[in-house]
Amino acid sequence: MKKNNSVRIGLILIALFISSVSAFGTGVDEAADDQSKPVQIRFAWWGSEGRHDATLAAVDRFMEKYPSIVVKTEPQGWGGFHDKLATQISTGNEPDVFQFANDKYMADYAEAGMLYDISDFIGSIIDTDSIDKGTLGWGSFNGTLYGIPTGMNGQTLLYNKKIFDEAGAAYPEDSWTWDDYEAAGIKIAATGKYAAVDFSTQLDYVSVLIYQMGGVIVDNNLQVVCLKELTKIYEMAERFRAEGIFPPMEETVVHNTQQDNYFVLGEAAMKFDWAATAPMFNTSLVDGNLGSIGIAMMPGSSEKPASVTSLGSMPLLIGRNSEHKEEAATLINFLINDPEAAAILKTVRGVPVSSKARTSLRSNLSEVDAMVFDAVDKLSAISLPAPAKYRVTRGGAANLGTIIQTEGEKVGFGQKTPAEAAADAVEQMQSMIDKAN
Amino acid sequence: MDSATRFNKYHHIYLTLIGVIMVYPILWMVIASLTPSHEIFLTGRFLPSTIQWSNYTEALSAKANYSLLDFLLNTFILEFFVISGTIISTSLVGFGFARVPFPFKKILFTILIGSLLLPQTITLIPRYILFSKLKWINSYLPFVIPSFLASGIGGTFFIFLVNQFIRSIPLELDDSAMIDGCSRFQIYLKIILPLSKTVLITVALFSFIWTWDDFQNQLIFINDVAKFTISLGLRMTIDTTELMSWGPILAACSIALLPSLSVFLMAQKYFVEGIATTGIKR
Repeated sequence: MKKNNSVRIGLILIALFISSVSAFGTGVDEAADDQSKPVQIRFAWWGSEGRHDATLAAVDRFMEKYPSIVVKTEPQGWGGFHDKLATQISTGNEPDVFQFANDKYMADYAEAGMLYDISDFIGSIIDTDSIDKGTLGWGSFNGTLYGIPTGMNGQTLLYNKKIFDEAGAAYPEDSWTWDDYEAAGIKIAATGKYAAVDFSTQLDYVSVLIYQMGGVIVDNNLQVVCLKELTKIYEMAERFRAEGIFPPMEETVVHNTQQDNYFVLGEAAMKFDWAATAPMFNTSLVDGNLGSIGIAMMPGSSEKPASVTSLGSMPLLIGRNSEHKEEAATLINFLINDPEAAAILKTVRGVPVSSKARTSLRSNLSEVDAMVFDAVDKLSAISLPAPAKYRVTRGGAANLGTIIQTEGEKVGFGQKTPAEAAADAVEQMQSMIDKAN
Repeated sequence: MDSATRFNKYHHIYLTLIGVIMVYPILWMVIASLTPSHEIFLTGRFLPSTIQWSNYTEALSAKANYSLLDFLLNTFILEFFVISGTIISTSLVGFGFARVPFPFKKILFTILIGSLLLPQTITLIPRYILFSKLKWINSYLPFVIPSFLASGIGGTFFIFLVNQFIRSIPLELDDSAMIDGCSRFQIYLKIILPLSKTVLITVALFSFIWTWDDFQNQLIFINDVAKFTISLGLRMTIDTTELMSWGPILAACSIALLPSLSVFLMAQKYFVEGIATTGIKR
């Protein structure tokens, strides 16, 4: 009797174990081998709610149009996306189609041979006629095309119309030179507000300025060659701080995030930033400044037109180990070029890369979205891709950014002269790159 | 007033201060979850200008066709199997190491303890390859099966905990049970298990909280939104590279915090007892 009892409990344990196994079944769906069954492909991307909803709707439309392809969607947040992707790629288990952070990871992955060259599908399945060459370049590395960018963006001059009105200054224009920028800045500084957010400590903006001066940060032989340009930028920032155009460094260092800076707080009139952030600033500027955003090209753009970077972001790639590459390419083409997809996706990945999609969307855009579209159109007309930017990413662009920031702050705190700080920054960046390569 | 009570008084003031510091982030989250999104990071104020209950309705509404409640349900299903597996397996193995003589016991126990020092991240890729060959990816099997084999999250630590506890139970109880005709398994079932209630509750609680909080493993092994757990569901709509409405996200976080908080508060008595009697702090 007693023996029976313990046997019974043992059996229950085993049953629980087995039921747990069968309750979930095996994870991976069986591959659709026979022809009658639709082909199944996986599609992964990161984003927030708006992008998820629109992309899911676009995928539904795709499956209606191509009944022979079933798309399993894998929406995720940004955090952890590339950790998971790295695990999947290294074990040959990546999704058939995935969104990719080209500006951060393209160089590493491409050089490790982990990405699939999609050029075979260009023209046959994927139509790239409506994408300009400069933008498409952001989907490639060292001349090999790995993905089709989905969103366009570029560095622009964002400004707060309300502060300009109060100072009685004219709004920034695309034809502005750096002298115009400084003159307007001094006028605004006289009213007690700051004219601009200090850009000399941010790699994103410093690198644009360096390109504009005709230089690059790192050349193709991995040498840091921006000493002259960086010195000029640090000198200029020091002058702007003295003139009251920039806030003092003590204030810049505590308000230096996208959520918390003097531009968003309505204390500074101008900020360099990606064109696509304009709608965000437009809705998050503090009380009384809502809706007063404007966009212009960066100062000096009219003199050195080819030196401003425009970024084709979030390319869609095909998994190297995908068994259904043609179907994957079909999905990519649909998302990029199909008018129905464009109507659903709108601007969830930034301004669409396809000029046809841009034209078809234009009629029902909000005012600020229209400004972003205009800015991107202008940028794509005057921009060339910057291959050096990709080189920077290798070995951690974040570290280069930290060096530029730390040394720029030392200038602001009066601990170093611009020339000393620039020399130290170049030396540190060089040793960082030497170590990483 | 004697010195002991005075010490107690200062002790309380000191503990209250530390407590306030510790609880502040949670308090901030709950208050921010009732704040209109655009006020959260931009205004310096602690209390919202208006209480925004719609953050909560927004948080509970469906995202990518699934709502927070689906993710909670998934997590509870996963937790049920993981916790049952962990309790069954770690109590058996702990009992084995504490009571059953077998060859190489000392060496095996040393290896077991040694594996405590091995960070999970190191075994991540090998585990992924193994589970992907077994076709377990995109299911809960990578969590459930290891927990039944005492190698799930915290498995080694739990074996150690249970083992220490069982060692503190007098051996005479086993002897008298054996004289009365109990088999070894019956001793485990009828003597040791009932006496180990407190430590098993501790194990269940730890297992619950660690599985609840586990992001990395769940991120790597689960692809399908239909199978997402709460920690994946919460992160699914967070994209720091674009504009987000923080209010609903923090509201969702507050909701997600409730189960583990209430489970902990309910079982706190056993929890403290279980840790105290094994003489371990972690």
